[in-house]
Amino acid sequence: MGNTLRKAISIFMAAALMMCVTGCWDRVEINNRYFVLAIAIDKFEYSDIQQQREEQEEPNGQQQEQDGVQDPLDSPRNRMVVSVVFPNVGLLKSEGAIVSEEMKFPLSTVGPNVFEAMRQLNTRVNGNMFFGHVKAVLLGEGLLSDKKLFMEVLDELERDHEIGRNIDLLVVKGKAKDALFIKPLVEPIVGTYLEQIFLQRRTGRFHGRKLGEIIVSIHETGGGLVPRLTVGENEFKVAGSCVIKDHKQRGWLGELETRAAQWIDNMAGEGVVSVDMQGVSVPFELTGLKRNMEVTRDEGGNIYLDISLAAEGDIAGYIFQMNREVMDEKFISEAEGAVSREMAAQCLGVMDKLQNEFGVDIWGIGNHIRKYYPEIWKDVKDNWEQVFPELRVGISVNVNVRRIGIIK
Amino acid sequence: MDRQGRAKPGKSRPDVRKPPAAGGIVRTKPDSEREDWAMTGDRDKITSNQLMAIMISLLIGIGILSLPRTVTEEAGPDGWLLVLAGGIIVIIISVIISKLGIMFSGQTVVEYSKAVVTKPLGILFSLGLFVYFVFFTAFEARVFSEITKQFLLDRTPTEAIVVTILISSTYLVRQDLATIGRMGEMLVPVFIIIPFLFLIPAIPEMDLTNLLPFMGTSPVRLLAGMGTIVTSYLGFETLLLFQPLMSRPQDAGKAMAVAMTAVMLVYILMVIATVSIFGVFEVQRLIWPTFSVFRAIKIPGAFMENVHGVIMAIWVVTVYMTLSIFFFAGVTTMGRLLALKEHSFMVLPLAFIIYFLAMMPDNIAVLYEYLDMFSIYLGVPFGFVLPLVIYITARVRGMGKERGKKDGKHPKKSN
Repeated sequence: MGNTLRKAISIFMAAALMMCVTGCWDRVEINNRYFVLAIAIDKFEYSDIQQQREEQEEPNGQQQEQDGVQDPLDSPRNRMVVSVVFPNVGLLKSEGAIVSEEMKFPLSTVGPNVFEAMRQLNTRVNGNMFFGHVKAVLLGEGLLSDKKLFMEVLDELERDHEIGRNIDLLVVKGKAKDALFIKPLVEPIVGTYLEQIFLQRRTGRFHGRKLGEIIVSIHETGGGLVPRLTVGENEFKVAGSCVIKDHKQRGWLGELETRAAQWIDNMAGEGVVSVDMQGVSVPFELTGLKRNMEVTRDEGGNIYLDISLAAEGDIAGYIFQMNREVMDEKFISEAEGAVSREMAAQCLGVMDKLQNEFGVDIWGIGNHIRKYYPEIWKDVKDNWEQVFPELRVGISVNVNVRRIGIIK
Repeated sequence: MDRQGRAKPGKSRPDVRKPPAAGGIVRTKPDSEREDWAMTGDRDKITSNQLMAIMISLLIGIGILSLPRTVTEEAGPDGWLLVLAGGIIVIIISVIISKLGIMFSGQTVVEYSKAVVTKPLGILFSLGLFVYFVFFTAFEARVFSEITKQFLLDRTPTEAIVVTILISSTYLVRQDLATIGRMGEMLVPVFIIIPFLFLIPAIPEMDLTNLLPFMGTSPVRLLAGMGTIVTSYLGFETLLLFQPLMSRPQDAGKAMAVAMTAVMLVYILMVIATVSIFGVFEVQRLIWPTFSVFRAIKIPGAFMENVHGVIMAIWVVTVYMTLSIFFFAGVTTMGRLLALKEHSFMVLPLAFIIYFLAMMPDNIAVLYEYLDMFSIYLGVPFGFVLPLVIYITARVRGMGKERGKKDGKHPKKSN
């Protein structure tokens, strides 16, 4: 009898074991997973929809007037347009399999916040969207002008555990959705395309900060720079930057201004500065740049900021057989002088713009003072925003030409 | 299957396998002292290397995830100084505890506390210690499940995660400390070396100026902040129970000092890495900055994009070890208190209690609130204050000395 009981118990135990080996609840097969590579977020504006409809419907002449009936799109729930794009992974391995020939699948929806909009997209896709490989997030210009929406989006991007911190965040002039849905010439997938643009970095004409760094900057100072993306027919370019002040868009910096801003930030060591020498435009290619910042205070309480840049690089061109030789110490020191004046002028220009026009400390100069001059910081930390435009800034640039190419 | 049964083959072993057994021990010891280990032949005893491994894997657990945040909240860029100060205090206290263990050789705190602070108080202390270990195990399990759910298994119910880790740890807890020690010896190198290897690609992104200004926080504020690092260092007090399980208890102090230094260095490096990558303000916003650091890392060559998966896997193992050792400590305390020969039958019922304790907090905010309360009201007394009280009382009453001498000679006599 004891034997049967033991048997019963062991059978029961074996059966109970089956409950433990049901497998992973969170398993998603890799072919059911869509790797979203880029997200675009825009502010929803009902007027755009109306305009679109008018454009589409007028030629057909069958405009449906629906006065008095509220369009379901025009509801306060609709606050953002969220678009994603994921590549057709099926194409990579398709041999005999039935796959769509599209290179990528763009999708777009409206919703009250990013997260719900993403979940809504799941009703239209047969797989599981995975955001762990997102390369770039594009924000529409309109979204950045709306302080509340912009901060909501930033919080959601940071809070989500799938989206990494080392992705690119860009501001699109116009609608972000348009930038996402075009087919770029070289590489059809927008996300990786942007990532590669950021990786090569040979111009310094855009601000190379990643999402994580932009978030830190906005969190610490309420301001910062976000790289700008301009959309063309079937290409786009990343150049210039958007100035964030007080948690929203305040203005734009041009390409050269962005580069000068990065010199002050000790970030861009590459790029070409062209200077005029006796009517000839001489390109000077920067190969290295070091910045030093010193802060002093006089008895009157004026704070002086001395920025010194040490640049080195090559002269990449002059004029064929008509003037002097480049390989001449005098010529080189003249060129060095010209380049340093040009760089200093550009730096002073952008400094002036940010101090007086925008009044936003995008470089974290306040942080620099907090770290190295705690006794000055104690006095200015409460009204740093007023102090920053009053800083007396001096910029000195020391240029060294190292190489001149392969002819004299 | 009981202990005596196992000890017999153990005793016969030295005759047969003496050369390999002797070769396995640290070679710096003179031969005469090495004999102890071989002669007692106890596979239940742990070496001092194993004690180090146990302590390192015990201390590194859930605390390290939020440590950079909590210290930065208290001390800004000087957070790592807090960690350093805490580490030094912990080293001192663990050396004192090891002295207690030598004074009352062969006894755990459960026995000698009765002698030192009278029997009722001693029993009360041991009961408290038991409750403390059980609660700690429950917190480990819950924080573990919250993090796993957040990062890895978002559809698996919390309950299932807690049950899984508890059941798998009961398997280890039913063994003896030597088994845990051997496991620790294998795992500790893995979970110390690999995370730091992954931090190397992040070095260009580290901005060490984020740690400036140095010593900008007032010393008073630093002292006040000491409470926040308690959670990360708790666990060393298990030496109160584990020392008599060592083959050479007199080495415990040295081993503890090494282990605590290692833990302290890991913590300091982690705090410096997170603060230098995120800056003082951002660190304070991240619930688990230590994970977020690995989210921010991109390995060049892009073979692996999300490093944090590997880190999660390693961290799961460290939590498993932490949880099992605390669980084991709880079971041992109860077993010693009831003077039981075999304690493994208590493990499963206790796992049930731990499960219900773990499921008590409603959400993660409440969980961390409870954890803070726990470290202050249970952690500080049982980790820092009471062992000191027992030590001072024993000293004042002049106890343990003659006993210590007797017991100290004991192993040599048996030679």
